[in-house]
Amino acid sequence: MTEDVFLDLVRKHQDKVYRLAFYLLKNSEDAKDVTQETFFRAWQHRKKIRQETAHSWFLKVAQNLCFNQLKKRKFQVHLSEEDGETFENLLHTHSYKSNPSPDEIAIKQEVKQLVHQAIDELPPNMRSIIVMRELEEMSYKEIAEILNQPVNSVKSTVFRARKKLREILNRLMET
Amino acid sequence: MTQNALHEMTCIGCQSQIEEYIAGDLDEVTETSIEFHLTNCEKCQHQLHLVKTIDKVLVDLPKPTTPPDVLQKVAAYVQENPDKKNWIDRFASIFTWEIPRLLILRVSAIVCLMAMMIFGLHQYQKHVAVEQAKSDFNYAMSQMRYAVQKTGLAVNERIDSIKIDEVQHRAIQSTSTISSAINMSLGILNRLTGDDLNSDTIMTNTKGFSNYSEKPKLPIQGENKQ
Repeated sequence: MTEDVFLDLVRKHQDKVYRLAFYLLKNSEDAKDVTQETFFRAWQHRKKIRQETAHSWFLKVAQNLCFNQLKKRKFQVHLSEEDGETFENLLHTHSYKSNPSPDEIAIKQEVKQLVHQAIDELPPNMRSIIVMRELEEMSYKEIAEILNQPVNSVKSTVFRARKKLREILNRLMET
Repeated sequence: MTQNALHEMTCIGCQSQIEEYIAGDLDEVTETSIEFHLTNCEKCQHQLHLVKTIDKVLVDLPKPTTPPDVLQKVAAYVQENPDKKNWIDRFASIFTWEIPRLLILRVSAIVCLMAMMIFGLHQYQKHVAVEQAKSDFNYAMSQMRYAVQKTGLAVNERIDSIKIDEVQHRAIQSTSTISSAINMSLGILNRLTGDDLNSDTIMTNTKGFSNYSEKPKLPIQGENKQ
């Protein structure tokens, strides 16, 4: 893979990688670091990567890096959340944006915020799968390739994630 | 579908399958019973509304874009670590094209297989030759044993006065000492008869004897004395 081809791939897929990292780590600075690290590693292993399946490789590496970082966070006080934009800020500004769609008008802003909060509370593996499925509109097959799981298993995880989301939402609405 | 089947759906059953119901991932029977349950249950209707709300929010989740400096840093990293090709890489690049690589792999696999087959055939031929030699040897040994036996019998019949049973017994004892037994028996015969017998003449005399009626003609003790 030549440098130009590689940089074209980076341009094409960087947003997907960044968004996955952002939704998992809930912090723009950390997401940026993970995105860079993903592409550095991709360049190091460029001989193994095929152009057709490059995006799967990028997302797989990004997800693993995020999970590793989340594991580390369990054992240390995370100080960098105040650096850069946080996940809550992004969702908050998005909920009150100036040009809401007709659908959005129908949904009360408070409910929308609660849904965002519920997404925030989802376990990382479920959040990752929701991001891939709903945000990136990836097929079950594509997700299955990234996660190295059977398609049916991915499908059931998506449904379990949605049920979990509803459970959290029910709890949040009761309080 | 019976009316009972429609009433069987509980709130727990309905709520546990609402997501699949909306995605159209259920069989017709379950779908109908959930629809029927939803018309009568306000609690489940609320849950259905909640799921639809979640769907709408998920569709409209914010999509942050990558900060521009990420691409710049990646480009800088790529330039700092250019794609250097040494002679090994250049040689290896010949095989990077998928189709020739597969072709080479297949051809080498076939060549290996054929080499193994030829080697196996060669080994089998060797084995057959060895087996043939073994059976020939066994046949020759049995012929020799037969000849010795015949010699012993002939001697016993012609020279009754002298006990030379040891000739036959010693010769038959084992195949490894058979030639020495023959020589020994011939030596005894020579001493007794005074004739110069050897193994070739014995074999010639005994060869072709299929039964004991045809006996080899050995010199009689009296004749020798004359």
